[in-house]
Amino acid sequence: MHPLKIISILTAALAALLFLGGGPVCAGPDFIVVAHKDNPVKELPAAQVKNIFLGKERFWPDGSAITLIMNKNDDIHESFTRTMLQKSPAQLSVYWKKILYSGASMLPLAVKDDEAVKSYMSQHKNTISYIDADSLDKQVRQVEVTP
Amino acid sequence: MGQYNRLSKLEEIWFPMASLGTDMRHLFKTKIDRHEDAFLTGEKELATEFDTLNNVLLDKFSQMEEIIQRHPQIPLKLASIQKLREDYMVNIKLAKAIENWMDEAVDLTPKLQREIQQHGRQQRSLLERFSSLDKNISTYFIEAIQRNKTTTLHNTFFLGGLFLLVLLLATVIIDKVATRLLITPLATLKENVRSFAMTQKIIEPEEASPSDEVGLLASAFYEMTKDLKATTVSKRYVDNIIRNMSGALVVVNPAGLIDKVNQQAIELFGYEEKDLVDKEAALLFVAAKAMPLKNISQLAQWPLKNVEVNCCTRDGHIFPAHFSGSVMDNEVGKMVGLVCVLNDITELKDSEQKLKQMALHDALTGLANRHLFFDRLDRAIHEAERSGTKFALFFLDLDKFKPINDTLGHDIGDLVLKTVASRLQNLVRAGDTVARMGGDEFTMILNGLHSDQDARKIAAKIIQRLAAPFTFGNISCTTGVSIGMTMCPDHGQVAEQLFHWADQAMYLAKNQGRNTYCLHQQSILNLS
Repeated sequence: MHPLKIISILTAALAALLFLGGGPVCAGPDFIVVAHKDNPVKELPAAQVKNIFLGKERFWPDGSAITLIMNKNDDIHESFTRTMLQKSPAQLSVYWKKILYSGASMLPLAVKDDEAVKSYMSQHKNTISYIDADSLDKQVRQVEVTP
Repeated sequence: MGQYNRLSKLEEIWFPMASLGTDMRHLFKTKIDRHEDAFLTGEKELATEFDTLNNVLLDKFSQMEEIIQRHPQIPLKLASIQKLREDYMVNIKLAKAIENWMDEAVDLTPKLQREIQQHGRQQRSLLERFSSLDKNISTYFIEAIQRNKTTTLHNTFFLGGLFLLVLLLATVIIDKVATRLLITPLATLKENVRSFAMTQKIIEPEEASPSDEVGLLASAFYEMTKDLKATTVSKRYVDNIIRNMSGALVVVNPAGLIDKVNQQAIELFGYEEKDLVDKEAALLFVAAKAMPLKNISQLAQWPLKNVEVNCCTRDGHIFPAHFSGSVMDNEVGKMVGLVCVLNDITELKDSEQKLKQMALHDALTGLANRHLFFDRLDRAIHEAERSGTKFALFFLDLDKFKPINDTLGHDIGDLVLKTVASRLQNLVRAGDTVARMGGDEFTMILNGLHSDQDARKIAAKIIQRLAAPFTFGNISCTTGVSIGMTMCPDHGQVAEQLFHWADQAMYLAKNQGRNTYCLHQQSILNLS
């Protein structure tokens, strides 16, 4: 990871903390939350994003099941888990394995990088994931994370 | 009583079952935790601990199954336990399989994930079944305890009731036995004793067996009272005698004090009992000097019988009494008192006096009779001889008395005679004697005369006194008297002779014209 990026992230985080008085942290410039391009959901509150990725909210507003796609792009993944879920990637992994072990649910689907995310997402309508902001193209659509 | 069975049931079934149920749940939960830890962390060593737990758990299964087999009555099905065991074994197999994929390196393919999921669900359901088994056992356990408590309570009530019942029964039996064996015979005995005390009647008790102590006591009492009655006189008997005896009884102690008196003594002397008891016995007697109680220690004079004494009542009335006394000794011969009996002899004395009077006096006039007259005459002769004095013997015969009797009746005649007697009595001195010989004949002895002149004067006086008329109401009559006189010793010293001559002199006086006197004229006779 580039040192400047880290500094900028930290600065942004600090600024956000200072301005918002400790409120939910906004998605940084590093990653963006994305969904199928036809998905009518244009924006989601940060808390709802967290619930979705922790398997606590499983359905879109139209009633269809939410399919999670974990991005194995380590930088983006870690940035996402720490920022949005306040967890390390290992914590999240154990979290999901615990759910799997209890028999409640299977592990979320994991793909190797942004491209794989976009490719899978374009073919599966109910998916949600996260990618590097720079990787955004017409295959997917960004979902604005509101505080 | 299922007390013991229930307790042993608790002990043999529910204590171990509850502990087994809880242990199994704990062991399985521990197994899950360890296995999950191993799965989540990838540390297989944590899972090896699970093997030990598994063995212990299977052992618990065996123990529980054994208990259920031994006690088929308990509400847990052996089959359900066995099913749980089978399911558990299946789960264990799956768990073992999962252990192999715990390496981080192994990619959890959807197939593997589905197996893990299945295992997780099985495991969850198994945990629920273990928990429910534990809960059920606890419920049964609590129920058993509750039942036991209730039973114990019931048993306590039952035992308490039984105890009371037995106590009651024992009380009733003891009461019956005591009444029959002890109280009733004792009551009968008591009645017999009381009856004996009141009436001296004794009732023979029933034949007693040698073991019947009370019966033997009653027999002994009966024998005793029989002997007692045969050999002793009751106090009441003696009291009766004392009360009913006619004489006054006075018991005097050796000190001369009255110890006891009977009712007759109280009535006779007019004292109250308290005024007599402990007082000097001399109080009752006149002239204590002559009283035989003066010195009661002079035993030689006892017993005394019918000694005549004079007694004195409380009012001071003196009466004659017969006194009898005897010494009362105690068992060792020591004198403890005198038993004195006093009989009032006032009436006896009066009768005696009356008899004496009747024997020596004339019944109509009260004058000396012929018998007493001759007695006096003899004494007068002796007295005259001894003292050298003279006395005169008069023989009086009333003149014309027969007509009074014939015309006025014997009653008036008797009255005349009595009046004559009275007038004659008034004319003589105390030592003189007036006697009636019978009919209208009287005699007189006039002592202490000096000469026949004295006799003549007296005779004249008599004639004069008897010449006075006799008046009884409206009846009046007169009589006269002819007097013959002899002097002693002038005319002789033989009573019959003096009497005879006085009689002769009286006839002379009659011949001389009545209402006169005539002195025996020895000289004349001698001269003639």
